Amino acid sequence: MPILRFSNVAGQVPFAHDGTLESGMDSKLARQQKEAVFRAVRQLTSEQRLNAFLTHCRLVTGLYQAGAVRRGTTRRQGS
Amino acid sequence: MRARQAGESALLLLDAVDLLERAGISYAVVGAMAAAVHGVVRASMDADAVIFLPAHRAAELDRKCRAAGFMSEVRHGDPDDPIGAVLSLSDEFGNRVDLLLGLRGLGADAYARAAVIPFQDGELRVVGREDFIAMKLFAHGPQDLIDAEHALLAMVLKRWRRWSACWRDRISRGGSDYTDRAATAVGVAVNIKRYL
Repeated sequence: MPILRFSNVAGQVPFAHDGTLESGMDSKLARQQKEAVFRAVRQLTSEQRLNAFLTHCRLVTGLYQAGAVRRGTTRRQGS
Repeated sequence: MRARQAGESALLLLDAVDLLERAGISYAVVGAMAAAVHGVVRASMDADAVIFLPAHRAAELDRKCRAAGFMSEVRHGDPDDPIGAVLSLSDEFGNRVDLLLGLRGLGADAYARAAVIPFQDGELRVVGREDFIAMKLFAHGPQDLIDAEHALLAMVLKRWRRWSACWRDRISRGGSDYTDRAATAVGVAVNIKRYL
């Protein structure tokens, strides 16, 4: 019985030609890690998950902004 | 306004919800915030909610939002678009909330099925798990399918645990590998979406 896999370690979703998820890029280790995260999240209450969402968004946005600043710096140095 | 920096679209949504409730407009949170409740936590630049208001009243709500201090923009869908209109709210930090109006196939009864969840200094009505899964399967994008899979898996696991607590002894007595049976059952359930 084929079971749909989580996305690979890069967060990309490999698709076969028929539109189903394929396992060619699958990593057992990455899948185990994702499943561990999934199990950990299921231990949280709904309220805790919403707060985790907010914190996660703050952190990811901060990381994105730092990257944007860095890219801008590199571009200026290159020109 | 609650947001103090970028990455706080969820707080902007709380402000929007205050306005919606004052205006007597029903809503249900969808998108990444609902995914956090029903599946896994993933980051998103925006926060989404469906509001149970006809698309032709988008301009009226837009005016109320502007008067309340939101930056606001209305876009209408084409006649064959499953979304009637989107009211996009934003703030000075780039936080963004999309309010979806006239979403085809989602009746006002979804509001009654929404879960009320405390969040920060307020509370949010988050679309129910079954409605969330149905919406994601309908949208059918790569991320939508992953969200649906996680929500379905969480739902199955929750019910499986409850069910298996009653049946664990009987299954074990037959000499079968309990874990294998559990994995098979979850696998069957997760693959249900292929046949919807």
